[in-house]
Amino acid sequence: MHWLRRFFQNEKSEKQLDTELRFHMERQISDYVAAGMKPDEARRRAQLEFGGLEAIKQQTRESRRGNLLETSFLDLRYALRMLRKNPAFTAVAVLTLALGIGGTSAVFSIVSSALLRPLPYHRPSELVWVSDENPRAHMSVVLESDYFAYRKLNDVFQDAAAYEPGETHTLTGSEDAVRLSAGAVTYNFLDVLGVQPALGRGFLPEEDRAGAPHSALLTDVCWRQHFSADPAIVGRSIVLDNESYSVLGVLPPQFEFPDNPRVEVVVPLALQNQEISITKPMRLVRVVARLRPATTVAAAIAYLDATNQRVWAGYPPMFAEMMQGVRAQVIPMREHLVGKTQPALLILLGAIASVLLIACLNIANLQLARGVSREKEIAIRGALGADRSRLLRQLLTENLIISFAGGAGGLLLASWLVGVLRTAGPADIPHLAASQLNLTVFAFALIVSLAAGVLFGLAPVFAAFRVPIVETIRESGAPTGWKVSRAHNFLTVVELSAALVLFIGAGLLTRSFVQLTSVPPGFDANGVLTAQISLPINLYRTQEQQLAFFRSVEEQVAALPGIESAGLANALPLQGFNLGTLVQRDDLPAAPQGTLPATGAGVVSPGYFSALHIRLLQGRLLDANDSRDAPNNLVVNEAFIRHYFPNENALAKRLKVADQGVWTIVGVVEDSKQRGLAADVEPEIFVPVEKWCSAEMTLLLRAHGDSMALLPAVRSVVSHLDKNLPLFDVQTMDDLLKGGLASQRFNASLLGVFALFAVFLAAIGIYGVLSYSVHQRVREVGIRMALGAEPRNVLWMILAHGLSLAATGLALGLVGSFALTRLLASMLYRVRPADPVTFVGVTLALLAVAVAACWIPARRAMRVDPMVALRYE
Amino acid sequence: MTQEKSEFLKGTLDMLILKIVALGPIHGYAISQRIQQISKEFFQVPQGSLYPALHRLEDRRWLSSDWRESETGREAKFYTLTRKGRKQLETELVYWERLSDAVALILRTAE
Repeated sequence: MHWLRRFFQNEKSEKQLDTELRFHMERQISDYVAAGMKPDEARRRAQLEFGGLEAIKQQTRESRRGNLLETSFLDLRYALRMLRKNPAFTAVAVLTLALGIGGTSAVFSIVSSALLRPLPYHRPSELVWVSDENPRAHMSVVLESDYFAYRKLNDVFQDAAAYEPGETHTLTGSEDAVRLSAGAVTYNFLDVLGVQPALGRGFLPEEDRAGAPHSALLTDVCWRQHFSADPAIVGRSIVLDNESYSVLGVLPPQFEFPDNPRVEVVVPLALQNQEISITKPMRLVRVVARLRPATTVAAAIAYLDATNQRVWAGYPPMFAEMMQGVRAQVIPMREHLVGKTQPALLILLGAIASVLLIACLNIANLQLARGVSREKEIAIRGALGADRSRLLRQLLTENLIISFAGGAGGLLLASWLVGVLRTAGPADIPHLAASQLNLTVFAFALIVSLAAGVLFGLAPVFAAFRVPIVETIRESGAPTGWKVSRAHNFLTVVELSAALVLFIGAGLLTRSFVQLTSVPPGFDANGVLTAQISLPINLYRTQEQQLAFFRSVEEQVAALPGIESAGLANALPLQGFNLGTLVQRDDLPAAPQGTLPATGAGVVSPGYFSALHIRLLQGRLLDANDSRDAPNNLVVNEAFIRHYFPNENALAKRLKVADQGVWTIVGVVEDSKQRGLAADVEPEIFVPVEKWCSAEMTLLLRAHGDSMALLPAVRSVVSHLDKNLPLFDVQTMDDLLKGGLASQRFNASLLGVFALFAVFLAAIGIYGVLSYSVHQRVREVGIRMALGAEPRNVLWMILAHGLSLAATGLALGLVGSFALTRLLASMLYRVRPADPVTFVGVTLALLAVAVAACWIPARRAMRVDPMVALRYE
Repeated sequence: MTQEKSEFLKGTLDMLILKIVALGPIHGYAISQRIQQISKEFFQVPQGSLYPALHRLEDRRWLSSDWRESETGREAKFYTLTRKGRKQLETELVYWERLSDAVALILRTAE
């Protein structure tokens, strides 16, 4: 550092200063000698009068304003020295800042991109999601024919488009067969959203018709990944499901397909505007519409309901009954896309904001404690001639160094955390994959915590200049002490109460998560692998062809070594509810319209039950005898019995199932969860795949060992039967089970981390306050002990101070928790927001932490040696 | 030795230095001797106050300095009053007179 100092301190002027001062001293000495002193004595006297040469030089240097760089450098050097002398303070302050700033900006970045980012469509506020909600079937979609009716409602809508986000197509050609996530849309879809393709054009009306030549749009991601961003792609043909599709255009990079951001290829939906009839297939679609500028959502709903009543009255009786009680729903598109996750995200945001608050309080607390212990140093420097602005600048430099280090740490932490959250976060957080560190937020968090640090960091200077300097130097007591203690106590109480609220919130979510994981799913997920197979309908036209294919897949897979059992199903448990099917008891008169519960229809092979270990409760399972030509037999679940046959033996009872004739119940199986672990099980019937086969089925297999290890063998079985068929959505039932818990796990663990951090900070806070107080009271303690106080009296005295703070903080925190945990109610499963176990347990835990934090300084007070304390300075 | 008193002294010292330097180029040691003599040993100017003050005044361009041979033959730093410094001295003298008049008036009237 010496060369730097020379650089800044200008060698020549240093030399001159030295010469000037030496000249003064020499003259003084020679004057003394001239007055009759001995040379030795004259020198000693002059030196004594002169005082420290270096100190005078320093003061003289400082009296020049000098250049800003020079003094800043000196400040910096001094600050670094001070910070090095206090490594504990420095480390805690920097860590606190880094965690507060980093955590807040990372979480806020995720939340802001999920909630605040405008939808990637033109004037998104005009866009609404339109559906007909059937409360019995948990369905909100629109019938194909109703969509065409809605398009005509020009009084409320500028236009409406239909879409389906959940299709898949197999891309073949240059590479191996790839399964692409596809969306199907009406030709006006892009116009309604106000999206222009980046390359080429969108669909024309004539391309959106059944029987028209196939065409497709690619998303930016798909274009880059599978076609190496070939600019000449437009007009070329690609092969999807063994058919040629001409590429019309490429969508812009920011485009996101509604309800499914993973969609890579968009094809026409080719709806048919036809009279509704039970003999024709009726498609269900999702509808997005653009409201007329002056139209409100409420007006649109009223208008749609009126239209629906009129239109549905003319439907055939079966449909009319299905639409009984169905109400139109119009919600802003933004709410539709992000609404579900919004409360959880806002709660997380609130939680991390309180962590930032606690971090700021902690910094303030630390600075206050440190400031008081430095009051003497500052007073001395003030007495030695450093003026206030100089001292302020020096402390400011110190604080800026801490802030800068904390900010840099925070930035690192935030960018790392955003990465972690992006990959570990549950898939239902919108735009999660696209979220980036939001620098505005980072700047905000930085400024807030800097302000807290600097504000409180400068307090000692003001304190030093308010009180007579001499007093502070002379006495070891602190004149400003009691005021500082009050501020200290206040900050600590607030910190503790905020920490308790967070801790209780985290506790509730964790308990709810544990409750949820202990819910029996009704099947044994362990060791079960699932994969979906989707047959192209143009090659497998009839049910017989489809069935023949799936039957051979099941047989060959079951014959593989290491397989315990294999089965087929049209849907897996936990993956949502199948279409509501109208089921009626054959032995009772038709139930009044709208009173029948929604009932799921599982299409399964006999292997389904054995693969999932679903237990039979009554009768028999489906078996090989339930073939295509056998009588109509089915199996029902317990929930079905509860709804349709309460207190009756259901075996051999007959059911009318939609328009599929009359079926006989041959067995009852245990309930397995359908719509997630938290939801009640709905009635469900299981019909043999032999009778209701469809082109898309899921293969389930239970292996003796690692089921994933069998995947290559399964793949080769399938590709041996049809080499263009990929397996997709390959996953274990365990993953599916975990995936259903992902958002609960995410919320509970994130809040848990915040809470731990808050508790850690609060512990530091209370520890700091007590250490400071012990430091202040060393003399008092010494006197007490000299007068005969027992060490444990001293221990108790300090502990009592700490515990009274803790008790106040915890009491306030409990009040706050009662008020705030209600916000969590919708996220809790079988745990009340005021759950006494959590409240008591968490409060006791935090109390224990507080006691531990008080214990260390209290022990230190107890060990005070009265002699040392009284001689203290 | 409270804060107020030392600040009062600081201002006074600056004025006294300017006044002494106004008599002609002079080095630091001579300034301290002169102040001591004229005030009949009332003021002792410690070096720790004198040199910071001199450098402060020079920094404000109220004094200029050059290196000359002193009466003993050694090189010394001589200070000279600048025009800006003379103006400052006048302002301070006017202020000082008004201050001491005011103080004297209060002391007399309050008797």
